[in-house]
Amino acid sequence: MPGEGKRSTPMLKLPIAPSRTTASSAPRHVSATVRAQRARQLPASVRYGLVVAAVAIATALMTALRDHLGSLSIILLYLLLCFMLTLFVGLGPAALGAVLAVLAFNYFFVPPIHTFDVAQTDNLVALFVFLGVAIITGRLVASTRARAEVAMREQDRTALLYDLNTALISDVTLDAILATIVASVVQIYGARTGRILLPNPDGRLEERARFPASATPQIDRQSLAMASLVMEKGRPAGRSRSERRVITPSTVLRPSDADVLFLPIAAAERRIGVLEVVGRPGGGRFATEDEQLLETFAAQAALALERTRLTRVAAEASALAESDALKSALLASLSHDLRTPLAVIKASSSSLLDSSVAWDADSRSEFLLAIDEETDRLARMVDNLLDLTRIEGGTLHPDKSWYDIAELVADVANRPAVRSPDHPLRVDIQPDLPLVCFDYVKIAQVLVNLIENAVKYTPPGTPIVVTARAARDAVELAVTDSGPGIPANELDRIFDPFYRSPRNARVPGTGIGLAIARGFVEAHGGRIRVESRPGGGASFRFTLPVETADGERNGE
Amino acid sequence: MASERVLIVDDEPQIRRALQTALAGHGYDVAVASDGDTAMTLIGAHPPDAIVLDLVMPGMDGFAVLREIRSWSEVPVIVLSARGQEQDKVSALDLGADDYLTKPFGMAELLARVRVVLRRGATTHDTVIAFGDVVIDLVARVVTKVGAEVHLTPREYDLLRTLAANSDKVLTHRYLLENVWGGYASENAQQLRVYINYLRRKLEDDPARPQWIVTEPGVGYRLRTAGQNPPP
Repeated sequence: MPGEGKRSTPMLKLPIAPSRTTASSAPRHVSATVRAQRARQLPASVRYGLVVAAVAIATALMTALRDHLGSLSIILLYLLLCFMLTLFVGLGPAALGAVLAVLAFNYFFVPPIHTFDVAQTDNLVALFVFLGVAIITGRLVASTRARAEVAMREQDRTALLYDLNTALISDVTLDAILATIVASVVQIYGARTGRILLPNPDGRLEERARFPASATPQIDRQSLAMASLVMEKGRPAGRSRSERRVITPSTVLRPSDADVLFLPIAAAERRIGVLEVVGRPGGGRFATEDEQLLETFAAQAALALERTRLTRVAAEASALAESDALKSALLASLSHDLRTPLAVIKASSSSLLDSSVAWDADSRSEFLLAIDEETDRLARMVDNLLDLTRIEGGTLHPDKSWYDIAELVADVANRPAVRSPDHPLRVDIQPDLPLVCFDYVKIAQVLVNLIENAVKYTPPGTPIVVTARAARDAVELAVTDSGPGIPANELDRIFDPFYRSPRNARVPGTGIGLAIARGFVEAHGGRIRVESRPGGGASFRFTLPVETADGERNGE
Repeated sequence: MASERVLIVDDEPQIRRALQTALAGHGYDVAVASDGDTAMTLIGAHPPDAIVLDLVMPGMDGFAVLREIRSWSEVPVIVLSARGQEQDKVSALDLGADDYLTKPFGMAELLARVRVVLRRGATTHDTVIAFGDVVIDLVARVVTKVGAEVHLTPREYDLLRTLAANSDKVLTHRYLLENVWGGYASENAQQLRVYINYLRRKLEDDPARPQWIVTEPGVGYRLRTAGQNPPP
C-alpha cells in the first residue's frame, strides 16, 4: 500500500509513560489485579480443583507439624488460607474451601481424631464460629476486591484514553491520525490487530489503516460484510473467527461471544468509518467493559478524524474564496480595460454630435483621432481574448512558412506600438541564423507582448534588449529588461492566464499578454520561460524549433 | 459662456484628452491631473469650481482624493464610475460627492451635470422651487400643482423639501433616511419607497413613469428640475 511507510511512523511517538515501558513487548497494564482477574477466568472445574488441592496440602503440612501447633493456631492458619482463596479464585470456590477446611479441621485435629465426631461442645462452637468467620470475611474480601478492581479498571481506562488523546493531538493529517488509532488499539489497549475501514467515494468500505503492518493485508469478505453492517446500523457488533457462517443481521454476535469486534467511528451523528479489533488482550472473548472501552476509543478517534475533516473543509472553502476573489479581480480588470476605450469613444463622438459648439479643426481631429485609436485598442483586446480562448480551447492552428528571424525582430522593433520614449530598445541578433518555419503574425505578437510587458513593468529610462541566438535544434529569442526582476515564487505562475502579480496591482492590465505568448510559442512546439537575474532584470526567453526540410515533409 | 475652472482627474490619458477638448470647447477653463497627488497639488494651488473625478485609479484612488477634498473644501465633485458598481457610487456620494456618471457617458450628460453643480455652488438656496407644473414654496410650506394646493402629510413634505433643497442632485437612501426619518434602519428604507410613491401619486402626471422624482437604481433618488436632459 502506498501509505505503508507513513503509517508505521506515528507509533514511534506514542507517549507511553516510562514506568510502563519496562516490559516493552507485553501490554503495559498487566497489574496484579488483572492477573487475579485472569485466574478467576480459569474454568470453574479447575478453580474448584485448586481449592481442594490447597486445602489438602495445607492439611497435610499442618498434620506433619501437629505437635508444634495448638488448635487455635490451626484454625487461624485455615482462616488465612480461606482469605487467600477468596482473593484468587472467587467467592464460590472459596466457600467450598471454608467447608472443606472445617471438615478437615474436625477430622484431623479435633478429638476424637480421624472421626467427624466432636467430643467437646467447646470445639463444636469453635468449628461453627470458624465457618461463619470464614464465610463472612470471604464475602467482605470479595466485595472489597471487586470495588478495587472496578477502580483499577477505571484508572486503566482513563490512562488508555489519555494515551490515545495525547497521541492523536499531535497528528494533523488524516493518514497520520488513522495510523495512530490502529497503533493505539494494539500498543495501548493490547489487541492483536487493529484496522480502520473508511468509505471510498463510491460509498464502499475500504481498508485505510492497519496495525501491525504484518496483519493480513486484506480484510476477508465476511468481516467486510460485518463492517458494512456496523456502518449502516451505527452499533458495535462482533463475530467469531472460528465460525464461518454467512453474515446477516441475525448472525451478529454479542461481544461476549466474539473474538473480533467491529465498532462504528461516529461523531455528531456522522458515521465516519469502522474500527475492527481482533484479539482481546489476554485472549478470550470480549466483555462488556472491553466493548465500552473500545467504544470510547472509537469516539475519541472520531473526534480526531472529524477535526481533520473540518480543517480540510475550511481549507477548501478558503481556496474557493481565493479563486472567487481572483475571478472578481479579473472581471473588474476586464471591465475597466474595456470600459476605458468605450468611454473615450462615447465622449468624443457625442462631442462631435453636439451642435451647440462649432468645433475648430484641431478639436475635431483630436476627437476623431481618439475614436480611431480607441477603436484599435478595443479591437486588440477582443483579438487577445479570442486568441486566449483558442489557446485554452486547443483550437489554435499556426499558419507557418519560412522566415528570417532578423527581419521579424527588425519589423517588430520598428512598430509604433512597442516604441516607448522611456525605454531605449536594443537589438542583438546572431548573424547567419537559419531560416525558421513559423506563423509570422503570431510570433510577432509574442515579441510585441513581451516588449510591451517589459515597458509596462520596468522603471522609465531602463533599456530593453531583444536578442536571438542559435540553440540546439532551435532558435532562442529573448527580451531582457533591467527592471526589478520577478520574485522566484511568481516565475511559474506569471504565464498563467489572468495572473497578475500582487506587486503590480497599481498598473492596469488583464494578465492576458504573457498567457497568449506562451500559448503561441507552445503551439509552435517551442518553450517559453522567464529568468530573473540576481542583479535585477527579467529575461523572457522562448525557442522556436528549427525543422529540417525532411522533418517538415515528414511532418506533413 | 462660462469661464469656470473644471479639474479632470483620471489615470487614462485618452479620457483626459477627450474630456479636456470637449469641456474646453464649451468654454470651461480645464485643468487635468493623472493621479490623486497631482490633483491635490492643483486643487491647493488654484482651486477649481468643479472636479470630475475617476474613482478607479492606481495609487491614491478617487475615494481617498474625495475624502481629502471634503476635509477642507465644499467644491462640487462629480465622480466617474463603472456600471454595476453601485456600492462605489453610494460610498462616493456618502463621502460627499455631488453627483456621479457611469462610463461610458455622453458629453451632453457630463455637461448638464457640470452645469448643475456649478449653479448650485454659485447661487444661494431658492425659497421657491418649481418643476413641471408643481411649485414648492419653502417659506409658506405650500405645494401647488397646476395652481391647486396639494395636501401633503408632514413626512411627505419633509421628504419633498429635502429632495427640492438638493434639486438635480442624487440623494442616497442613507442621506434621505438620516435627514427625513432621522435614522438609518431597514424598516425605514421600506417606508422611504412607500413615501416616494405617495409623492409621485400626488405630484407626477404619470406616477408609474415618473419624470421629476426619479429613481437612481441602487443609489437613491433625484428630484429633476428643468435644465436636465433625461438620461438616455
